[in-house]
Formats: sequence, C-alpha cells, structure tokens
Amino acid sequence: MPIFIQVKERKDEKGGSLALAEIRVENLNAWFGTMQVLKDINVSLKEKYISAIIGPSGCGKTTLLRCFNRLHEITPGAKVEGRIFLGDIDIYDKNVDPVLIRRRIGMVFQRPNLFSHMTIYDNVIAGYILNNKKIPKEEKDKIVEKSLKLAGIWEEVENRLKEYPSALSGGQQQRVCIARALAVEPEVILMDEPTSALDPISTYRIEETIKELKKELTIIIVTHNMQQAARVSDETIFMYMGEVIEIGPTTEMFTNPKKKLTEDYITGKFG
Amino acid sequence: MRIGDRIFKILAVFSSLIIVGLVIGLFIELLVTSIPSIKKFGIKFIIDTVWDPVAEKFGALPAIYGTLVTSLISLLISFPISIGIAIFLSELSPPFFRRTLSFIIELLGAVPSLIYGMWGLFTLSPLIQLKVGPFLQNILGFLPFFQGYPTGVGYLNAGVVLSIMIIPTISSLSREVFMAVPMDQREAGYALGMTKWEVIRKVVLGNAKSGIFAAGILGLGRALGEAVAVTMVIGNFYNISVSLFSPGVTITSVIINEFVEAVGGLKISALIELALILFIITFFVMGFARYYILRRIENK
Amino acid sequence: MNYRRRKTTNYIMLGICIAAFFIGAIFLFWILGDVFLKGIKYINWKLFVELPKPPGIPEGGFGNAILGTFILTILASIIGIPIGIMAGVYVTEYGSGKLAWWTKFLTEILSSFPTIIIGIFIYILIVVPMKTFSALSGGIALSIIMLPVIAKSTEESIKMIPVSVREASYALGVPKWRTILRIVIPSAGSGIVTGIMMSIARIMGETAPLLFTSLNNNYWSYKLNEPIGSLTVLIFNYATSPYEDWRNMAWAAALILVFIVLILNIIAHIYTGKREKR
Repeated sequence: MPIFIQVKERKDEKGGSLALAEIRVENLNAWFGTMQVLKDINVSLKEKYISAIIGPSGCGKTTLLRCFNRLHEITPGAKVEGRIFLGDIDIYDKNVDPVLIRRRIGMVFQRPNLFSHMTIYDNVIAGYILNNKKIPKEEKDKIVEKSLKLAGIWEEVENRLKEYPSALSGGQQQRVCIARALAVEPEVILMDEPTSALDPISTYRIEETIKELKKELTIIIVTHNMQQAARVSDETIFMYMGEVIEIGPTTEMFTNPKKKLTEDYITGKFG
Repeated sequence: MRIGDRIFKILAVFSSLIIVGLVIGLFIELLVTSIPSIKKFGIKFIIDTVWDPVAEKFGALPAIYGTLVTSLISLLISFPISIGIAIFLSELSPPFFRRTLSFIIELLGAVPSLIYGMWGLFTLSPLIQLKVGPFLQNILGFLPFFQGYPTGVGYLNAGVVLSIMIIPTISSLSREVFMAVPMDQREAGYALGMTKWEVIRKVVLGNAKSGIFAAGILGLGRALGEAVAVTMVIGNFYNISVSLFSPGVTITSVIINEFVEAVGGLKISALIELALILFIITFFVMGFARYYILRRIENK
Repeated sequence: MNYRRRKTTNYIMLGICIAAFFIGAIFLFWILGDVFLKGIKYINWKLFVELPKPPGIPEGGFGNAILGTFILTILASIIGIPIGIMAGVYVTEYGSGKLAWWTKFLTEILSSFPTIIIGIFIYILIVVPMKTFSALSGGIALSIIMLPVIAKSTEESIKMIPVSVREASYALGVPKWRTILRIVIPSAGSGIVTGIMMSIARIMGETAPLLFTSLNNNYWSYKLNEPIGSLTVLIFNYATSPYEDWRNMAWAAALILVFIVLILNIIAHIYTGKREKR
C-alpha cells in the first residue's frame, strides 16, 4: 500500500469533506500596507495539474502563490480579502485555522531553507517532529525514504542522513526541501521559483521531479523563466501589475496567446 | 494550536512587562521611601553641605558636586582617548587583527569595577601622591585645581579610574557609528586627493558627529552611576573643594559608607533620596542618549 | 608645500590614534598585571576550603565566599535567563507596538544602570519586609542586572535568523509558538549562550548590589533566607580594612575573580568567532 493514497475525497480535522476537485479563487485582493498588490483575481485551477504563474517582476505572482497557503498575511501590514476554495472549503473562512491549511498545502521556496541545526533525516520528517506527532521509527524511516525518492534525491543522500544540510550543494538542498514538503502528504504543492538559484543540471532534475509529482498532487509553480513554464506546466496564468491577464492551456498560450499583452511578454518585448 | 500560541504570547508579553514594570517600580519605590526626607528638607537638601546623622541634618551638595566633578573629569580624559581608539579600530587597524584588538578594549569593560577600585587605591594613589601630584603642581600649580597637598585619593584619582572604565563604552559605540558611514563616502574623499586623516576628520567624523555625542553622553551616564570603584578612591571627606587633589564624596560613596550604620528612619530616607537624585540624573542622561540614538537609526 | 604640511598633520594625527589604542591596552595590562603580581603570592589551595580567620591569625581562606558567589550566580540565572530570553523573543516576534518599543528602550537603559540603585531597590522591596539580609534578595538583585543583557543578546541573535527559515516552518503547518521554541530559539542558540556567559561574567563581578541584599557571612552558608558571603563583598571589606594580611587575601581573591571573569569573556569571544565563520 503506497503511502501516498490517491483519494478524491478527504476528511479534514473537523470532519468536513475536503473534496479536492479544483482550486477556485474568487475576488481575491491583497495589500502590503496601503499598496495593493493583487487586484480582483478570479481563476480556477485543476486538480493534479501543474499550473504555472508567469509575469514580469512585481506583477504579484509570488503574492498570489503565498495566498494559497495563507502565508502572505504573516507579514506585518499585509492584508487579504476574498476567497479561495479548496474543493468546497473556503480557506479564508473565519472558522478555518490557517495552520491546518498549511498542512494540506506545502511550499518550496526560492532558496533552500532547511533547518541548519537539524540533520537531513530530521529535516525531511520535520513536519511531524515539530508538531510533536509521535510516529514509530520504522514508519519514520519509510516516510523519509519515500519522500526523498519522490524528490529524486534518495540515492545521493541515503548514506548521509545523519549529516547536516550544510554538507549538501544548493541543488541537493532544494530537493531535500521538496522531500520535506512532500513528507506531510499535502494535496497541493506551491513552488516559488524553485530553480532560479540553481545550476542547469539541478534545474533539469527538479523539473523532472515536478513532472513525476503531477501523478500524486496538484502543483502551482511561479516562475520568471518562460521556457520552464513551457517545459513543465499544463496550464499557465499570465499576470501583470497585480491582475490576471490570461489563463489557459500552456501550449495554447505560448503558440496562440489571446491578449496582446501576453503576446508581448512571451515574445520578449518587455519583462 | 490556538491555545499554545496564546499561552506563549502571554508569557512573552509578561516578560516584557516585567522589564518595564521594574523601571517604573524602581522609581516609585525610591520616591515613596524618600518622602520623609523630602518633606523635612525640601529643596535645601540639594543646597546644604552638612551631613550629620546624629543631629539628623542632611545636605547633599558635596555628594552631588563630587559625582559631577569626577564624572566630568573622567569624560574629559577618556573622550579623546576613546575617539582615538575608535578611529584606530575602525579605520587604521589591519583587518586580520581587528577582532582581537577590539577585544582587548572590550576587556577593559569586563574587568569588575572592584578591581579598578583596588588598583586606584593601592597603585594609583601612591603614584599621584609621590609622582603625578607634584609634577602637576610644578607646572600648573597656579591653577586652583592643583593646589593643596596631594594625598593620593580624591577627585583626581576617582576621575582617572572612572575614565579608564568608560573608555570601552564610548569607544565601542563610536566605532559602531564610524562603521555605519558607507565606504563610498570615504572613497569619494580619497578620489578628491584627501589624506587619510582628512578623510577621517571630514567624512567619517563629520558624518558621525551626533553619534559620537551620544557615545559621550552614555559614557558620562556610566561614570555617574559607578559605585564601588569610586567609593574606594574618593577619600570619604564630606566637603566641597575646587582642588582636584582634595578628597571628597560622591552620591554613591555616601550611600555605601553611610548605609551600613543607618539606624534612624530619617537617615535611610535621606540616603534613598540621594539614590533618587542619582536615578533621575542617570535616567535622563542615558535616556536622552538612547533616544537620540534610536532617532538617528529610525531616521536613516 | 601646503601638501607637505597636510602630510605631516596626517602622520601626526594617525600616530595619535594609534597611541590612543596603546594607552588603552597599556592600562588593561597594567591593571591585570598588578592584580596578578600582588595576588599570586598569596594563592594556595587552602583559600578555597577554609573559612576566614580574624586578622593576625595566619592562613584561613574564603571558601565560603567562593561558594556564595556560585550560589548567587545560579540563583540569579534561574530567574534571569528564562525571563530575559522571553523578553527578547517578545520584542522580535510579537512586538511592533508601543510595548515593544518601550521594552527595548528601557532594556537598554537598565543594562547600564547604576547597580547600586538596583541593590537599594531590592533592599526596600525584599530585605526590609523579610527583616533580614538574604541570599535570595542578592540573587534577585543580580537577576535584574542580568535580565537586560540576556534580552538584548537574544533579540540580536534572533534578528539574524533569516525570515525564510521561519516561513519554512510555517509552510509545514507548524504554529507560531512551536516555531519559536523549536526553530527560532535553537537557531539563535549560540548567540543566546554567549549572552548568558557575558551576563554571568558581569554579575560575578558586582559588589554594590550585594552590599544591600546578601550582605556578608563568614561561615559556610547555603540557606536562601540568610546572608551569604560573596567573593566581591569579601574583597571590598578586606581591601578597605586596616589589616595587612586581610589586604593580601583581598589581592588573592581579586586574582581568582579576575581569572574567572576573563576566562568567561575569552570563551565567549572565541565561540562568537567560530560562529561567525560558519
């Protein structure tokens, strides 16, 4: 029985159903202080798809991503209004605990941010350790192995699990970050320019990993590299100045964009 | 989860409140305990010069005078030295040794004040009495500051001891301020053909004026509050004298020397009033310096 | 010609600055050397185990004072370290309002405040109601002196932790308080430890606050509600006494004190250096 159970329907901790049919963003607005960074976003993303968000610097793509796991509001002065539905639950509902949402929706950041005072093994299993979830050692070993395999880095670190993250290269650390995010079995993984700080070979490896992961989870990836979006994603969202300009299947958007702005960006006229 | 966050936050807030509460409580407590003395002596407390526990007459002027004089002497001596040290450490020292060299100066601040007192009492005192005193009198004896017989203890001794103690305070803060001056400002000076000293004087010191001022104030605050070292070398003579060689008292020395034999309630109250005066002076001096610094940081 | 004058001024002024440093260094070595030379003559192991004897009677020691300093330090640490760390945590993790600003401001002032006033504060607050000088009041006074030092070093260590590490924890669904306890504080750990070492070195050298709280005790004592001897008060009393053998002991005790304080500072210095390299 594989650890990652493919289910169409899951119960959340309160017993409600979390049918992950799709992710729906409704009238989302976000601010940093008085500066509005997201303007009236309305999009729908499909389950088990890889959706890429592209756009020039400052268009709000990272902010949008961070709204999906309610990380944006942690910054002092940040504000969010609107709704995001995971299945039929609005994650911004007053009764929803953001901490629980973040266990359902994982995140990989631009630069690897493993916990430097914990071993590689403990880092992967951190989602459980830090929340004081007691699991027998054999199960922990299984989770660590499975997550590192899924992240495509098991062979490289299987004999080095007791070492510290500083012993690994940037690309390796980033893949361990992916493993760490996968270990808690989220339904969605958010990736914020995960390869922008890495060399081409690590980038290639991670892109291959992403394509494999699609079988298990929904992935939303922000990237400033259009070629990456074209290589990896099924659907693409183009943003500009805090608004969604266009959303559609990747191949279509790159060969036959519907808006002129999209076309200009893709052909490199700006950005 | 919510509960854990709430409890933790309450603990953290509570700890902060303890610190704030301490300072406030300190002030109130000193004030309340001084009230008998304030009631009896009023403003004359600060003006009178007699300290007579038997007759229960207490005047604080010599103590206030001693505190101010010794602190001022220490500032005069240590300020230029500290700035020189700060310039050396931030602009002139070889980077490889910088950490170790600045550590040496830091150690000056780590030595317990008691040890300074002992050094002042047993080493500096005979030095002043036999060598430095006569030397100064030969050259500057016409000034009222250097008249009278140098007994070794007194304002000068305390001033010197204090000055060594506050060197690390002033120099470390000044150093921070110097290092905050961006490199390209200095480079602009060099590009205009300035010598190293001119760059330091015009660019670094020029930019750092207010920071150096604050550093000096902070050093002054530290000198004002020093108790044990000063008590050991001030000579414990309840008097006001212009001569630096003369023994005297400071607020802290009076408190330490008189407290042990404190019997009557009024005496304790008078001593506490002294402490209150010291609190107010120190708080405002340090508060001013810190506020000044915080404002500078916020403005930048 | 003008250039030559500027050059000369340059060399003179720079020379003065270098001289200033040497003045500072000379004072340090002068004072330390003094303590060493005057104290080393009287150091022997008996000092650590025997009790003080009246002047005129040879030998004796001040083991009780060393033990007293030890006890007071531990007492102060138990109180001061947790509160100090939590205050530092508050300012960095929860503070964006007035309370945080005032905490920072007052912490700074409190950290260089005349310790004699703190001693008097505890005298009024605790010694008088208790009707006795006590080790407990001494420990509390010292903890107040420790508090701001630890709070400040905690604050500075936590500030050095990049936001991304915290966000990694939040993104895993870890609540804030667990993030602080298990990620932030351990990561800041070495900085906090250094702060603790420095504050311990500081309170071991304090005299004035103890004169009003723990007073002194010539016998072995460990009861918290009785006066207790301490190295610093002993040195102060002996050094200002008219008896020569007491003054000699004061130098020996001073040497021991300086030695401990120096070691702590040096260890903290080396430790910080290693940390910065990493």
